[in-house]
Amino acid sequence: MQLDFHYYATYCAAFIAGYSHEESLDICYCAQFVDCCTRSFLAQIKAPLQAATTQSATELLDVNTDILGLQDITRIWASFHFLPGDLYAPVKALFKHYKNKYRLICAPDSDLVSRTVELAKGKDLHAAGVAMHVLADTWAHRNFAGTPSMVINNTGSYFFEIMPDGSERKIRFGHNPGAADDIENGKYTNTIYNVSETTIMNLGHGRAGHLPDYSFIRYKYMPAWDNYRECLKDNPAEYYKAFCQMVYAMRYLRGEEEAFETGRYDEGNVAPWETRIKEILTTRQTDSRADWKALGEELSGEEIPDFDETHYVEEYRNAPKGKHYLTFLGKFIIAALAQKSMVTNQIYKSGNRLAGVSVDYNKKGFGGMKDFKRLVKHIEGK
Amino acid sequence: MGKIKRVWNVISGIVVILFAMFAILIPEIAFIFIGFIAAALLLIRGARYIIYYLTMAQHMVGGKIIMFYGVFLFDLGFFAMTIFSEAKAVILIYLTAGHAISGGIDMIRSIRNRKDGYSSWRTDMIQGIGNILIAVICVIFVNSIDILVYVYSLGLIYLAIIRIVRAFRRSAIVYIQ
Repeated sequence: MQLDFHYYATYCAAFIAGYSHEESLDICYCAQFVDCCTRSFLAQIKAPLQAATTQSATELLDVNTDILGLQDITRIWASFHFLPGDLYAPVKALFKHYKNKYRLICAPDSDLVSRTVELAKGKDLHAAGVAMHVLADTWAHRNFAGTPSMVINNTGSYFFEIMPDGSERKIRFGHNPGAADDIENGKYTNTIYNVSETTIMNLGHGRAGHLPDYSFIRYKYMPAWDNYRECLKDNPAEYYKAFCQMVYAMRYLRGEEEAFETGRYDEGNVAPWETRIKEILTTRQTDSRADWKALGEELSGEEIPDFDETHYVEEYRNAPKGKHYLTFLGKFIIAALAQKSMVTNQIYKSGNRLAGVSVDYNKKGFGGMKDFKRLVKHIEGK
Repeated sequence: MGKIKRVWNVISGIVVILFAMFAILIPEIAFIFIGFIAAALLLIRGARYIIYYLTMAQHMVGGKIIMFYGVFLFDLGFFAMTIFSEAKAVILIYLTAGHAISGGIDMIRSIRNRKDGYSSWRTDMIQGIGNILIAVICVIFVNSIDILVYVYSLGLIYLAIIRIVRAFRRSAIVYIQ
């Protein structure tokens, strides 16, 4: 998903869920900021680098794909963009390395989605924003894994778009990163075919280009892991579910729902805007921010400012020593560390080492990367 | 990174450093060794792809291509084994092309980082210039086996040190409820 959904649609969902204009802005800012919080950004503001929630193209070019590098990539992409659907999924394969990769395939309505939403309960709005990003991406990024893997994330030439009239059109892919996707002629950009299992070209949905990020598109293809079975991806329908689930999740965070259960979507509260939302989701465009912004402003009667990545930087930089974590970005960083810590722990507990080692503080005390000391202090109220 | 992997990284790093020092001291003999190692690496790489096919890629749509690729590399490794005494050409191509390409990529990255305002652009530029210089040195001293072996060995030492340093880095994530 892109800024149109993570920022403007999340604003709409938060407002429908009952948050005020200001609260909705904080939530949607954090939801979008997950796509901006790179190591380079954190280094510039002198924040803990382990709070990185994404990696820029430049960083990925530079990344080491040795064991530590791969674990770092997996922690970031599996925790925030490709939440694993079933860490204990049955697999026929004999070898554990394949099983571990297979079990990181992203899917919505998973146990980890519940844990993600529950982790944000009772926390600052920043945690809700992070959770909404993760939840929404489980719908867009399903069938791909947040770790470099050819055997999971590769796609072949069997790729067709289902047009609005029901006809099929073959999708053609090019590899020029500077080229814009041409939706009228069905020409899209994806990463280069590379036979290395661990190259970043095989990370996430790179081999399917930006198709999973466009709400309007319906397409079919053969996922590398699904034994030559055809997969139909209906983005408009799935994005609508994502929206309704966000509303339900945020009503739970506000205390208006007793529990968060997977498979439940708040279609009732969204019903008055259903036609309008489905119209936005099906419009053939690569960026629907103008439509979502108009809907959001109609809902609240307030202006939604454009997203500005640097908006809270000075506040963080100018905070007195030891008080950084009371700032907007400081709270986002705590939420990001908590989410990464939780997901890594769940992957580790399942016997899967692809995201690295997790040390349980409550059982063994502090051990591991010092960036997480801030999270420990925060939870202990120091 | 698990303990066994850490120990392995340290041991293999030390072995590589020892070999590089041996190569610097006796370049004429090391030269033949390097040719042999280059051929052996191709064989190993081919074998790894075949194993990769058997353990993982056989489950993938279109995975057979991995098997063909592995068999091809394995075959190429056998061929290289028969001509490893002609190691000079292999090392020259490896050093010159490898460093020139790396240098070019470093410089492009540096320009991009500078444009984006990241301070790491200076390091990238220095690395880029260093790599290009090494490629130029290889071309200038194309007839000196000693210089080629020195450049190759220093590269090995650099990589081995990085491997050892990484083995000692803290990498666990802290989980707190």
